[in-house]
This record gives sequence, C-alpha cells and structure tokens, in this order.
Amino acid sequence: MQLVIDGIPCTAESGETILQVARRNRIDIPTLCHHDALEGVGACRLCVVAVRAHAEAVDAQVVASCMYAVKDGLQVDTATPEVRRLRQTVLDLLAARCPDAPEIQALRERMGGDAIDYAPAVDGSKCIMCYRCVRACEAIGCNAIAAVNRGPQKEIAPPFFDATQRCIGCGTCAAICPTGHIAVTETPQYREIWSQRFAMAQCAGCGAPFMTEATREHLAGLGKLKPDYFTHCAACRQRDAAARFVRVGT
Amino acid sequence: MKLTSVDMLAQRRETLVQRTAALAREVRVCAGTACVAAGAGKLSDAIQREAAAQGLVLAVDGDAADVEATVRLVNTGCQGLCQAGPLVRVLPQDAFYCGVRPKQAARLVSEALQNNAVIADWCAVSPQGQRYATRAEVPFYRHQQPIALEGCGAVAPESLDDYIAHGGFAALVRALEMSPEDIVQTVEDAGLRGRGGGGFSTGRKWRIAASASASERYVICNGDEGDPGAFMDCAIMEGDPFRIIEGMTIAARAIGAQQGFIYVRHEYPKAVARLDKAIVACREAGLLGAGILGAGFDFDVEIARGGGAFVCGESTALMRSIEGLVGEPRANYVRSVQEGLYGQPTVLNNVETFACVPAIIARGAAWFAATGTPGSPGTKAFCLVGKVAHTGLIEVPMGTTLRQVIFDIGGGVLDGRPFKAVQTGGPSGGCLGEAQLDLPVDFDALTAAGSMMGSGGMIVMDDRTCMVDVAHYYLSFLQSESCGRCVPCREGVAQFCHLLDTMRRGTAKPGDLDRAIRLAQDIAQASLCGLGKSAPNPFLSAVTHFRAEFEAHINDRTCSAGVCRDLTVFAIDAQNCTGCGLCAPACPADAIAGAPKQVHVIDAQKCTGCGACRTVCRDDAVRALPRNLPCN
Repeated sequence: MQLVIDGIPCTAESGETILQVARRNRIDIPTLCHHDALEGVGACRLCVVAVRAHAEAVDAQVVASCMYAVKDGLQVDTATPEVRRLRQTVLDLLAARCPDAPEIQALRERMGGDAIDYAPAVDGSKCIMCYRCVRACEAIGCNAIAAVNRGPQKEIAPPFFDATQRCIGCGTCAAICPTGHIAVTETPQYREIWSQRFAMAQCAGCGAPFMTEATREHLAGLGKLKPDYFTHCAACRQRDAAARFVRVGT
Repeated sequence: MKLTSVDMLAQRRETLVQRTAALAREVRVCAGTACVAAGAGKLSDAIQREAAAQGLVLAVDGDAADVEATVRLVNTGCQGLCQAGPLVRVLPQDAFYCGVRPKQAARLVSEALQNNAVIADWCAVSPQGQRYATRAEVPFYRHQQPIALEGCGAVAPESLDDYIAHGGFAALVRALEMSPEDIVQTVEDAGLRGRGGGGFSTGRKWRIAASASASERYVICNGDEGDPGAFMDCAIMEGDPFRIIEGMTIAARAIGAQQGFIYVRHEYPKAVARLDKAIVACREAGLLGAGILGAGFDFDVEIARGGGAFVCGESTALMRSIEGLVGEPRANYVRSVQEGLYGQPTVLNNVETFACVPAIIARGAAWFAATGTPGSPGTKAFCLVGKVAHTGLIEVPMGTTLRQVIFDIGGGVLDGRPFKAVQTGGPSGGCLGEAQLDLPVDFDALTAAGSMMGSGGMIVMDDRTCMVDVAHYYLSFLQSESCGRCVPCREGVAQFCHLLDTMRRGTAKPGDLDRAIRLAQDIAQASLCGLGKSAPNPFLSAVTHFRAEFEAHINDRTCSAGVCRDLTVFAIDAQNCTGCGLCAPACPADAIAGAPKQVHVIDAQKCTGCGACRTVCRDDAVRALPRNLPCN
C-alpha cells in the first residue's frame, strides 16, 4: 500500500506501523519506549504524529506512530506545531519526573521548543516507565519483573519487591533501559541486580566471568544453543572459531 | 422446571399472572442500599411479624405460590427517593410512604394491608401543604418515565418467576422469532445510544460485530460503574438482574455470540450475588445454556469480578482484565467490536443499555424513538446527588432540561441555598453553571456545553462549593485511578493536581492558569486511552463557566465560596448571631468564644478555615472572609 509521510510517498506492507515505515524512509521520529526487538506499548507518547485518512481530509488525528498500523492513502505529518508541542510536553513532564536522567534532559534540549519547568519529583528516579525491561524479560521467558501499583506510584519491581527465582540475573533489563535506571553491581564472583546476588560462571578458556550460573541454566534448558556457548565467553568462542577457519585454510 | 419451548414459558407466565391477580394487595418495601441503611430490613421483618400476629397470610417476594395468601410483600430493588427511606409502596392504591419505621408496621398491616385504606397522615406533603395520596402525584416521580428502571423497585429481584410474571423474557421470545438482522435493525431504528457515556449507536455496534468474520463472538456487560456519586447500574443489577440477562441474550442472538460476561466490581457484593443467583436460575429454567427455550440457540453468561479500578471501565482495559491480564488499556486503533476479547469481535455495552433492549424488542423501535429527542431517543437514568433536596435515582426522557431535573424532580437546592453548578458525567464530564440550566439533557447538548452525559451521575452544588476545589477533587481522583501506563496521563494529571493545589493554597503564580489550560489540552490529545483523554474535562469546563473564580484564587488569593482553607477565615455576623452556642463546640481549633445568648466571636488567628461553624449555624450568621495571605 501507499502512504505519504511528510510529503514523501512511501510503500508499506499491511500490518506495519507508521514508525517502521518512517524509519525505513529515513524520516526521524523520536522514541523512548520503542525498541525494534520488542512489541510496542505506546507508553511514552513521544512518537506522536498527526494523521489524516487521505490527501483531501481536513481533520487530523494525533496517534502514537509506534502502534498505529498503516492504511492505504494515509497522510502523516511528523512535525506539525501541535505534534512538536505534545512531544515537548511529554519531555517536560518526564524531565520533572526524572530530574537526574541526562538522556531526558538532552532530548529536551534537542527539541528546542518552549519548555515548561514542572514541579520536580522529590523522590524522582530515572525510571520513565517505558516498559522496555518488562517486555525484554517477558521475551526472554522469565517474567521476573512487572509494573506494580497505579498512577504516579507505579514502578517496576519483582513480585512483592523481593528476591525471585524467576530472575536469572542476565542483566538484559539493565542493558535495554534507556536511562540507566536499573542498578547492576558487577564483580568477578557475582552480579547483583534487583537486590539479588547471582554467582558468575567463569570462561573455560580465559577464566573471565561471562554469565551468571542461573542464566547458563536457563539458556541450556532451552536446548537451542551449541555446547560451547555455556562454557566459553564470547571473545574465546570468537577466537576459537577464527582458529578453526585458519586450520581449514591451511 | 426447565422451559423447553416458547409455549411452556407462556403457560408458566399465565399461571403466575393468575396467582398474582388472586392477591388483593401488594406492599413493596424498598431494599435498596440507602433504604436498608435506614432500616428497611427491620421494617420488612416487622411487617411479617405483625401480619402473622394479625392473622394475615403474606406471600413474600417471589413466593407467589402460597395460594392462601391475600397480600404479597416484595423486598424490591431501589425505588428511587433514596433521601427519604425506607420507602413503602402499597398497590393497587399506589399509596406511597416515606421514612417508615418498624414500629409503624402494626398500623401499616391493620390499615393498609388488611383494608384498602390510605394512611393519610403518612403521605408525603408538598411545601404548600398538599397531601399526595398516590405515588404518581409526588413530583419526584411525576416527571419521570422509567424504561431501564421499569422493573427496579417493582419486581422481586431474586425471583425468576416474578420477572416472568411481569412480562420478563417476552422480548427474548420475540427475538427468537426475528432474524438476527431484524433485531439489529430494530435496535438501530430505535436509535439506542450507549448509556455508559460514549453515546455510540448500539445498533451500529452490533451490526459491525455481526458482520465481522470470526468463529467466536462475545457479549460483555460493563457493570464497572466507578464514577463518584453514580449508582444507576448498581441499582439495576441489584434490583432487576434478569432484565440484564435478557438484554444480553438478545444481543447474543443478534450478533451470533455464545458466551457473555458481566463485568462487575468487587465492591458491589450484592449485585454479584444477585446476578449469580439469576444466572443459575436462568440455566435451570433453560433460559441460558444450550438450546435456549428449545430454539436451537446456545448462550451462557459468566460473571467476571473486577478489583474496583476505575480504568477497568474503559473497554480495552476491561477486556484485558477478563482475560486475566493487568487491567491496563491498549491503544484502540483497532475497534473492539472487530477485535476485542481474546481477539474476537466483542459487543460491550453498559448495564443500562442492556436494560433498555428488552423494552425495545418487546414494544418496537417506534415506541422507543417516540420518547426523548431525535438525536438521543429514549430515557436516561441519573443519580441525583449532592446539595439537592431530594437525592435519589431517577429516569427521565432525553431532552428534559437540567432545571426540570434539579428543581422539579430534585426539589431544588438543599436548604434553599442558591444554585451554583451541576456536575454531570463523572470524572470525565464537566461542571455546568446557572446559564446552562435550561440545556436539554441529551448526549449532544451536554458534549457541546463542555460536559458529557457520562454514565449518569449528576452532582448538584450550592454557593458554598469552590470550583477550584471541585476541579482538584476530580483530578486527584483521576491521578490515583490513572493506570500509569502513558506519560501524559500518569505525569500530566499529577502535575495538574499540583497546579490546582497551588491555586487552592494561594501559592499559584500569574500565568499558571494558562499553563494549566495548555497542559489540559496536551493531556487530552496525547493520552493513550479515554481516561486520560477526558481527564482534563472537569477542569476545562469549570474554567469555561467559572473563570473568574480561578483568577480570584491566583491573583487575589481569595476563595469566594469559603472552601479553600488557606485563603479563608470565618467571622460571625453580629446581626444574625443568636448566641445559640452551636458553633463553639463544633470548632476543632477552639477559636470561638461567647456567652450563651450573646453574640459569639471567632479568633481569626486561631481559625483554620475549616468551616465547621458555618455548617452547624442555623441562623446564617457565619461569613467566609479572605485570609489575605501576604504576596509571595
């Protein structure tokens, strides 16, 4: 199907979102909660765009481009004054919630609109409730964390804010967090995350800690990876593979 | 007894109607929540004891089978005039008594039930001293026209037999004779619009669901009534549960669904229990389950209990909740009539909407459309609450003006104080002022005025209500009920609350009103679901109609209503004070001094502005004055 984004004609498949089509055509739409590997949630509302059903349509509707499935003939404007204002408001609100998150402050400065300073949260964390960590944990198959409570009290936590056997200490949640909110302590012996300590497995090649024992068990249980994945770190596996290539060549 | 054919149902009704006709009188004791709180349960027991003592055989509730009985006692659902309970209605005289106490049972039995007498000195009296011999004359009821509430307050809520005797399931029989397409067409022709507040055409909704290609379809009844001050759906679920099941079954027949859900909040235990009993009774009678009335049509209903989250009244959150997921909305770019519960086409209507369906099918589209306005046919139930003389549950034709509702039915503002505003539509609705009183109540007129129909809460406010405080109340309600998924609603509403709070406290700065209005517009546009999109309505409508009051809070630091404590001190008007001494003990700050029968004085330094003295004063002698905060 055909649609027009910022005056640029684009081709799209049924089921694609506006955001997917826009990015493929190098049209920039800022996002925070979106991640290409995860299903959309439409939580941050930074990716809002104005849509009209067809070229002659007058009434524009503001939608989240990460969730809105494209339709034939759709007219999309990614930077109307209204859309820019809404994005500014979203960032102003997040800046007040997370005064210590430099990523939010940087995005806000880049926006360059009339910023409003709202009352900063006294107990502000860096969490913007984008659900990336929750969705990643779900995708991995652990479901160890979720959003708890409602409204401004909402936060991400393991069940009952306590240690949970579902967590394998893989650290994906921390790696995917856009603001660095999730605290991780790394030592050669253990990794601490969500107030839980996980023993590290040492690489059979170089002896470096490369994944938690619990992660190793979880991944081995899936039965989809080669045995050396659980014994050697990525660097050693790479070196071994290279050595094999060399032997084949000689 | 299982009813395996339409004829069996007709025979059953015939038998029941004959038995009822053999009874000389029927006394209906309101067992709605307010009346029970006022002692209706004890009254009902007392009537039964007295009847036994006086040798009068009573048939109680659905127990019409007692052929020796000459009088029937029905503990009904809400009869409407909640203010004046316990309510008693005696038929066929149609006598109506308010505030009946258990000790009055003896006289009720001997005069009104043993004989046909109307107990004149118990009847309601108009302000002019006119006695209302029948309920139909009472102004509260005179202007009403019940359709959805027709059975509520009339039938015995737990008796399937009584519902059938009152014509129940006749509409289902009619629907079984019609083609699904004809049912949809009838509902569409009737012009029925969603009573939950959205006002979407019910017939069109059913048509989309019926035409969607899918193997399964669902019917959901939304009983997650959460607006502060609203209890219409609760009253229908408690007072006439079979009507909802009949309405849902007709909808299922029309769209081809086999499974229905009634989503009820856990805080309505009586509604859950009554619906549960009704579903079991219907299954046993062959009115739910496989092969309903032997017509080769299967449909069953389950109850899904909600935890009481306001956001679960939003359709997508409600469906997720039924699926066992966290009750958070999803972006509804795909409509749930096409892809709803478990990804299947789903018709979700509100309790009141389903309660209108049997009447439309039984009496026809033209009959329904003849009431109300062309754009909003039919009637609408409202909960008339707040500072109004007669609070209660009412149902009026669409197009009735707010003035008629508040003054003719509601008897005007409580204690004769001046009217200030009326809030309609709950936290998604808005406040309308005196200038809007002649507005006809229908979906489009209320929306155009910046409020909305909502599910039907109607809160009357007098001159001692501060609109800034009201807006803050609704926004703080929404703040704690926001699911927290999207930024504009979670963070925006919280900031909004903060802005309104600074206005209440006299710390707002010039320009804050414009800032609040911009934030309101942004929240409305950028939020994910209906809760966020409509969250600013109570504020925006209040600013539209009461802008000066907001400006006075910000610029002059005054609250003319004397509600915002940081801006108010109270003083006693020596002209009016009779020295009755009521105010001094009511003051929590011990700020009032005065000898008996002497003018009392409030120490402005000690006064916390709570207004307790003004509330208890019977002589209108307490005045709210500006506290005159220093400029900041």
